[in-house]
Amino acid sequence: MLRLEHISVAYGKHEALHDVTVDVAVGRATAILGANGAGKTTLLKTIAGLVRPQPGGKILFEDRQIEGEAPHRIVAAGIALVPEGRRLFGEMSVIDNLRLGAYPVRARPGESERLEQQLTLFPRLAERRHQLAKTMSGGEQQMLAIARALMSEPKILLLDEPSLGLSPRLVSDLFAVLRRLTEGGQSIVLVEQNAYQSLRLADHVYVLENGRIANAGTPAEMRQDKMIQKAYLGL
Amino acid sequence: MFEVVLNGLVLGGMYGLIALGLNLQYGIARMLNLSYGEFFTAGAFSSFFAVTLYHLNPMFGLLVSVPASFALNWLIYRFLLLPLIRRAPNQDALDGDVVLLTFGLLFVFQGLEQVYWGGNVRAYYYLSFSVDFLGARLPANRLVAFFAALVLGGLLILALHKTRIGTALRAIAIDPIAAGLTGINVLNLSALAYALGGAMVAISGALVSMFLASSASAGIVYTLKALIVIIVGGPGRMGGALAAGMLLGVAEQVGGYLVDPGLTLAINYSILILVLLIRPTGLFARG
Amino acid sequence: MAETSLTWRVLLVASLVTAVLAALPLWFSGYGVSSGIVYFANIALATAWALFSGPTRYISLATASFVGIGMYTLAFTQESVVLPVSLALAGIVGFVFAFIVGLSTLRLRGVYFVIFTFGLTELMRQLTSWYEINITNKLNRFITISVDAIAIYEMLLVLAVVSVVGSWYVSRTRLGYALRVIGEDETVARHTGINTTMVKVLVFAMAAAMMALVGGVYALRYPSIDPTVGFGNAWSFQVLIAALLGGPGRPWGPAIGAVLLVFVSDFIVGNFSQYFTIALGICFVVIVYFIPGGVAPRLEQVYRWIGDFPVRAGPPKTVTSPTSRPLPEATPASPATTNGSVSGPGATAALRRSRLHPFMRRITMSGPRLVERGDASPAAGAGLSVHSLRKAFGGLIAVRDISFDVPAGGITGLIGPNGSGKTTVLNLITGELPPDAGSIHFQGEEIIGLRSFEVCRARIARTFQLVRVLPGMTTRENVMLGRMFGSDPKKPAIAIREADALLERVGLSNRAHLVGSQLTYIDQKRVEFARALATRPQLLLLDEWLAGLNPTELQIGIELIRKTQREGITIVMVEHVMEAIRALCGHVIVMNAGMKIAEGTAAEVLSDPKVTQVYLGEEDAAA
Repeated sequence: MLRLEHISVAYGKHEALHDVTVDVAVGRATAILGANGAGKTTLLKTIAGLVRPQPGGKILFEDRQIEGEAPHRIVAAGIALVPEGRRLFGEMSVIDNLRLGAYPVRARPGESERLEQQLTLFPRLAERRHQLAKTMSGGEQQMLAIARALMSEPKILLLDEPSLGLSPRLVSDLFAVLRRLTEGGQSIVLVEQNAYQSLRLADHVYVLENGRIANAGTPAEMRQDKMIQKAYLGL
Repeated sequence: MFEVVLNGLVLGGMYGLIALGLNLQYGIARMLNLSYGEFFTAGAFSSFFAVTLYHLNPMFGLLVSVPASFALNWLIYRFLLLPLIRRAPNQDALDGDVVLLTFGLLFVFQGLEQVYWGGNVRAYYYLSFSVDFLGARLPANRLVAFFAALVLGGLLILALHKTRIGTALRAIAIDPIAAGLTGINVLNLSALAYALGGAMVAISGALVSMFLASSASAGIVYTLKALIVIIVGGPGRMGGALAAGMLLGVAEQVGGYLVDPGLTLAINYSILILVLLIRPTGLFARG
Repeated sequence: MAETSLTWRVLLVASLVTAVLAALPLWFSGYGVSSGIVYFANIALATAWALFSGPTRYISLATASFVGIGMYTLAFTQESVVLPVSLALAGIVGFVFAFIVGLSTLRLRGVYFVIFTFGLTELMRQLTSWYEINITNKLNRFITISVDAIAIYEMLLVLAVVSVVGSWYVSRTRLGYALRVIGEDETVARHTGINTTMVKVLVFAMAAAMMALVGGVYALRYPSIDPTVGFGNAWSFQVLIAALLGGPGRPWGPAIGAVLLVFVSDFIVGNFSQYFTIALGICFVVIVYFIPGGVAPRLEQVYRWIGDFPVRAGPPKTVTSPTSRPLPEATPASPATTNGSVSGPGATAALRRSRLHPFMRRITMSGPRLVERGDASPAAGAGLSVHSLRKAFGGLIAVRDISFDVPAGGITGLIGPNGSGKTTVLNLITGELPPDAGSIHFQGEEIIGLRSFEVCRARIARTFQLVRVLPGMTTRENVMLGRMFGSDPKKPAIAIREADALLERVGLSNRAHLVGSQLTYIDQKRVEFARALATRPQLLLLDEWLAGLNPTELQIGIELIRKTQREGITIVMVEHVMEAIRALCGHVIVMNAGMKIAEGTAAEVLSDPKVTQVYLGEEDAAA
């Protein structure tokens, strides 16, 4: 349903992505792995419309070309990004942050139900519904960021390094939530440095190295192939 | 002394209102508008003509000045300022371009006003009798303006917190990128904020014209005052702007009373310098 | 010799032009002389304005303040001293005033600076009005000195010529370079050893002195002055437009702009005076949209197209021998630096002591000589020692009581997943951020509290995660910076030679003339490396310098690092490219969530289960 074809992105003279082709199918969890600087974040930003790919590349979503469109239109089309660093509205309450997540017209009907849904999925958020986002802990902020993105009822949820800065226990909690989502049928694209948990969650894996797709396959295949270990630890 | 302070609060409330519009432009749309004061003057002149030419209530001037100011500011943002964003390599270069452009607009508008309305100082009398208020005697027009300012400011703040669009505007002020990611059309809403700022300052001009004289060249002083208020209060903070406005108003009146009324700008300026040096994000900023 | 001969040629041309213009009044009418006065005043002011605001891009609207100060200084001193002294005083007062104002406000960002300078003029006008009304009971102040119009003409001519030639000259000195770097990227400026605050303040004050001088002379035209004449905003705006119109990037740009502006203004005022303000406004808008660089560069393009005239923006590209002229702005070495060749452990201490007497030491960039000239010997004493370092941003603890030692002369790796605090540690070492707690010792001396440019002069250099090559300067100029302002500063002539040598070493010689924005990514990285080396560090911090390289480039990069270490420079590399860590690092420190979780050789650390878990995830987490 989401397909990137020959996507290249450059920041000035630095080619962050080179001729990348990726397929994301409905209802699946796709993981994008790679060392730091490999271009994973750039890939998600390009899908979300924060970064413009070079001419020649195409992004097709449900038979519509969406490359180069503004972020709010991508959200309206049904793709929501949980950005690196979360980017919450710190001075606003949990409820306000969540409400804003349902800003796209498409997501407004049923907003209240979805709000309750998020608070059930993330009980800690329910406890702190009027608290200012910036006063919450890292783990809680990550949950809020995911919940906010879910409020737009996305067909595909993009997550950029959600485990960043979280303690191992919180990382486990995070992946437990993600597992619940995928089991419920939510399509996700996950960019992560933490390979192990991602391999346990994903249905399909891409490995990025220096802006190019170096490998792709099922998690089982990836585990056999020592590529991951080489990419991360230089073994 | 009490009367002086009260006068200061009343005046300061006006300053706060004047600054609110600029806060919308600078805090949300993130563009500093140095031609801001010219729209204040337009609002004032509009009311002046309503009273002197058509013998109407000065608020009738708003019928012309508010939509015109709204539309013109929207056009400026959409067609003059947006291209600059696309062109600028970094924030500082953009700021520089915006400053120069809006300075240019300032001169163009001021020049037009001078050509069409002359350089003379204009004033009219409206509600200029004094009333008793909390034990002090204050001119009715100032009081009316003050309360109008409070109501307007209150409505704006309420709208920003309780409506969906208002919340979206606040979100843009906090983090425009995150706002885009939640489906907010940042550029469109920024243009709206900018236009709204223009409308608000035209209203301020009308209110203030009830008790202060205006001239075509006075606009820049109001721009400067508004800038000082939002810097002191913290850019983007509506409540901060109102509070900072009152602080400045009181300081001005008290300082003028104790030292010399000719030194109002010096007092404003000293406060500005102090804030810039000690707490540049503003007294009531997010921190 | 090429450089000195260029200077002589410029001076010759300048003298000729001055002589010709000075003789003109013989044929001129009174109107001609009057015109000349206005032209020269504006040329001098616009050029002075562009001296500071051009390269730094801080738009100053304080011109009127300084002109007014000049006028009023003359008015106040005209009865007590002779004219030359009066004028000199005007210049001095302008300089001092600007220096004080600059010190307190040049840390403001662009937009606020503009507002501030504008308000300053308003303030000065109001204060002066208040003073005149209350103390002397009248608003104007009479000018009692009587000076011939021709004399005013000649004085302003001299000021205009001095302004333009002086501006040209400064652009070729280290001060001029420092200004340009500050305008391009202040972070790079700080890290290459430039005392950005002092440079900005100094040049701001110099420009103000010229403006005050012009004001003082100009006042002689009037029978009396009042605050609106002296502190009139028109001065600030006209000068701004003139400089921008002409092009602040060239020394003669503002002069052209001033001539154009005065000419056009005269025309408009003469024929359409009520539209003057509107025309001024349109001028601004046009400049912003259509000629952002000003007219001068366009003229140059035309000139080049006509006659293929090579146009240079900086110093001559070929220099055959070092000049022996001292820099004009040099002040005698302060007592703290006469024991100049302080090496090793005492270096940082000398640096600290000299900070106590900021006005006695060389203000601009040479600073105290910390090591012998050409000293590349290995560091004496211990390397870098970090102790219980801690840094939090609000509620987020980025660095949490971390301690480690970096042995001198080796290559130490600092690794860890994204967000573990590695770059924050580097920022704490280079003085970009103050720590909340802890200490950092380099060669036995505490370096916490030193500002970034002082850390550079203490011989610690760094590269940046996001490459910071100055886009508007050539490869050679980028590397020269390090040599001109680093720990062992040299004049441009010498810096060029040594920069070329460094470019040779990193393989960039054939791209020395390319501008930063034209370079490929790998070449930009090489430039950063060379620039860091040019500052003559004893400790080099590499922040993910090997990121984004293909296998061949990676090998070249690794070899370069190895070569550098063999020359005696201690290296700390923050990296994700494990292949490089294994190949280069004798000692590796692993961070996670702000803490050190492992330390040892590369092999030990990369097979430590704690480390693999943090990178790859838990092998045996509860299902």
